[in-house]
Amino acid sequence: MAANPDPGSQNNCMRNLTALFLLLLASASAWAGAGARSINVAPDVDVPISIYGASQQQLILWLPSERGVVDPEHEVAKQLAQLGYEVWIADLFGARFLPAVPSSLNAIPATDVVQLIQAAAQRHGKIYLLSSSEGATLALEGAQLWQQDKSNRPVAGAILLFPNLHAAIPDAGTAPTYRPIVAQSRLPIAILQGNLSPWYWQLDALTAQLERGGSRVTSNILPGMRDRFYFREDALPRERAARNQLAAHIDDGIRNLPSINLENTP
Amino acid sequence: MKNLAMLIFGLMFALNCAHARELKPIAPRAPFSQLQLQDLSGKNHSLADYKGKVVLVNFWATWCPPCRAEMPSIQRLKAHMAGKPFAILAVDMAETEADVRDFLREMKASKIDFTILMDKDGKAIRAWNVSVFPTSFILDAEGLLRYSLLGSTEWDEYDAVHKIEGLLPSTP
Repeated sequence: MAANPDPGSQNNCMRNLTALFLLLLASASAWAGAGARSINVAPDVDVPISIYGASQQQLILWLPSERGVVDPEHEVAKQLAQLGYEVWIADLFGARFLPAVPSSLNAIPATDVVQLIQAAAQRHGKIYLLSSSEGATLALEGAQLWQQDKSNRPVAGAILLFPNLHAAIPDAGTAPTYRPIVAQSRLPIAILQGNLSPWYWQLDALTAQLERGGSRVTSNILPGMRDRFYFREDALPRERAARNQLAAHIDDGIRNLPSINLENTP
Repeated sequence: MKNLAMLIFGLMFALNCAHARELKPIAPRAPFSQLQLQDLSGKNHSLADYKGKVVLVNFWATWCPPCRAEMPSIQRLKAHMAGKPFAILAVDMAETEADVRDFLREMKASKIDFTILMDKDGKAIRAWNVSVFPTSFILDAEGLLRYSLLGSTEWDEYDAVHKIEGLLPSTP
């Protein structure tokens, strides 16, 4: 039996369609200039990739933070493309229909990242992983899993923006503890960290823990910046302005990555 | 029925939002870390000077929205505890005095006048292992850490007031 159309439902439907249209419009505007492809990483899981620039020498694979892919990242990717990189923004949340909340990161297996690196390695020389905040864990886990296969060419490094690699929120007054992957990674790593953050004061501890596993770390401090500055809803005018320098900071991070003999990873 | 369910959900959401974070007991009671800093007028403060008083040590910064949000309630707590052996030490994270004075001007309506200490080189933040802003500690009159709190709260609500008053030394 067909139900009578409910005017309330029709209104809701119209509202949803309007919202969807506006969302598509906003996304289209944010992604203007991007190429696109999708990469199958698991049965029925295809990761939409936005591609900026074209370079067979150096590719940046941008993995999402706990907020998923955010619009300002497309702008930064465009600027990185102008600096000579090819950038792939991988919507790993969208691929699995996950909401943009921190717990979604736990639902993304590191094998997804391995599949993305595999696809990138077919055409590109140096591959750099880039992520921010809690996405840093996914980047490190993906790199480690990829490098477990000795026949794979190691990733050239990881650029971590204000990484949150805590195992859990530490109790007040207790020293931070980091996820096991921190001490297991063996990578050249560049950390970009704003100084308006409690984590700025723990950078030495994080660096020491990362280097325990054989990683080598360089840090670039961004004065006057808070964590997540480029996509904070409450971003200050100076933080919004600093988005335009983020690509240059990432480029500096890549250029200053410490050297490490990854071919002999134990 | 659907409206009733939405009403119940809305009430639950509102109650959840209104519920302030609770102070977490620290066990076993731990002696305090050192804290020797200057206030905005350049006066030296040491935690040892506050023995005999219950002390709220609050780590904050002007750029931290939840820190700013709880400042008026800290001031109201100070007013509530007036005349009792209780002190507030709000430790600013490595900002300039100008930043803090600008903030106090912005908050003029709240008449903030509790002690603000300047941790210019982050020494106290490191020593107290502050990972989240704001982070607060309550010390008893013997100088032992008794409660902590990650994040902001309404300091003049029942949980905080009740627990702080419970630590006040009894009058001889």
